[in-house]
Amino acid sequence: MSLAKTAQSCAALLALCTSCAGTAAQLPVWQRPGLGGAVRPEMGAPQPGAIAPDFSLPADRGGSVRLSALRGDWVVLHFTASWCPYCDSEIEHLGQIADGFAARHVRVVLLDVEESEAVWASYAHSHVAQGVLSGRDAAGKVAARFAPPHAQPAFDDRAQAVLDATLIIDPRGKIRLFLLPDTAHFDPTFKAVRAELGRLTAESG
Amino acid sequence: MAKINRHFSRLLVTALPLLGCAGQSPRPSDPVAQAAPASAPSDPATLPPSVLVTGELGSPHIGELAPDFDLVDQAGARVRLSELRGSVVVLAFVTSFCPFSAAAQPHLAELAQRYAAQGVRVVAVDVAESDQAFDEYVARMKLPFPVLHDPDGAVSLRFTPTHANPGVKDRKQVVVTSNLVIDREGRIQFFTLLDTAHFDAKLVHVEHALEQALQGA
Repeated sequence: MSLAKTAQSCAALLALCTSCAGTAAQLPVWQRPGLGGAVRPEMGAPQPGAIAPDFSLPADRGGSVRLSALRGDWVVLHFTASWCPYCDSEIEHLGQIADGFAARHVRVVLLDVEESEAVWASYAHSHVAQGVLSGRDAAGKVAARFAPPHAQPAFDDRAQAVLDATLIIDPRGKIRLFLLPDTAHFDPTFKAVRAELGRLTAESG
Repeated sequence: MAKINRHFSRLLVTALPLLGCAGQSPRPSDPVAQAAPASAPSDPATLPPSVLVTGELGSPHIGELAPDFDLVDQAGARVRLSELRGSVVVLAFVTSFCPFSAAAQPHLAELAQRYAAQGVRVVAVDVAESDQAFDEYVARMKLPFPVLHDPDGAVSLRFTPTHANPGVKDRKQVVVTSNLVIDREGRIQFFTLLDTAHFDAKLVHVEHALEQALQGA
C-alpha cells in the first residue's frame, strides 16, 4: 500500500468520524430499531424525500386506487402477495393501522403484486380488512416503478424487489419512510412503522 | 515501509468498527449489501453475518444431528437423508414462488456441479406445494440435483427451529430459502435463515461452510 493510499484511508476515516459526530443524535434511518430494512441511498430512486410514483389500479371493492387522489391524507402503502409467508403474517395488522390511525387522516393502501385475479380475490376476501384500500398490480408494473434499481440486484423480476415493502407517504405525496423487508428482524405488527407514523402525523399537527 | 503501511491499514480496519456510530458498526459491505451491482464481495469475511441457527433459536440447530427424512424426488426416486451419511450434504429449502429462492437457484446448481467430484451431495426440499406446482417448477428449473417434494410440509416443519422468526404464522415457511451443510456423520455444520437485508444469492457463506466441512473430515 502506498503512502498516498494510506493518506486516503486516513481521510476516509476522518470523514467517517466527523459524520458520526455530526449525526450522533440522528442515526441513519436503517440504524434505528426496527427500521433495518430502510432503503439506502446507494440503491437508487425512489428515496425518501421524493414524490412517490403515481399509479391508478382497479380496486378490489370496485372503482380504482389512485395514489394522487389521496393527497391531503397520509398513506401507508404496502406491497403483498398471498403466497408470501411474511406478508401473510402481517396482513391483519394493516387493518389495525387503518382503524387506529383513521382519526389522523391515514389511509392504508395494499397492492397485490403479480397474482391472478382468481388467486388474489379469494385471498383478499378473507384477509383484507374493511378499512384497507386494496388493489391488484397484475403485471407488477407499479411495483417495478417503486423498486430502487440496486435493491436486491439478484432479482430479474424487479417488481419482486418491493414485495413486502412498506412506505409512509405524506399528504403532499412525498415519501417519508421506505422500508424493504428485513426478515432477520421480522415484526408482523409493524411496531416501528406505527411509531414513525405516530411521530410524523403528530408533527404535522 | 511497505510493511509498516500494511500494519497501519490493518489497524485502520480494526479501528473502524470501534469508531462506528453508536456501536452500530458500519461494516464496509453493510450499507451497500443489496446495492453493490457489479463488485459483490466474494470473501465471506467481508460479508455481514447471515442469520445462523444456533442453540437459542431452538432445535434443530448447528451442532445437532439433522432430522432424518424419506422423500421422493422429481424423477420419482426415494431419497433418505440418513442414507447419504458418508457424504457432505448441502440441503436447501426452496419454493417455486419465492424470488429469493429463484435468485439463488442458478448458484446452487453451479455449486452442485463444481463440488460433485468431491462427493458433495446437493439436495433441495420443495416446501409444501401442490403436485401441479411442484411438477411445473421442476420442469421449468431443470435443476441438476434431486428436488424432493414435501407436499404437506411435514419435513420442512421438522427443520424449522422452534423459536426462529416467531412472527411467521405458517411455521413450515420459516425455512424457505434456508441452506444447511451437513457433515459426513449427519451433523448440521451450517444452517442459515433468510436474511433479506443481506441476501447472499451467490451462496458465498454456504460455499465457505462447505469447504470447512470437506476439510474437517
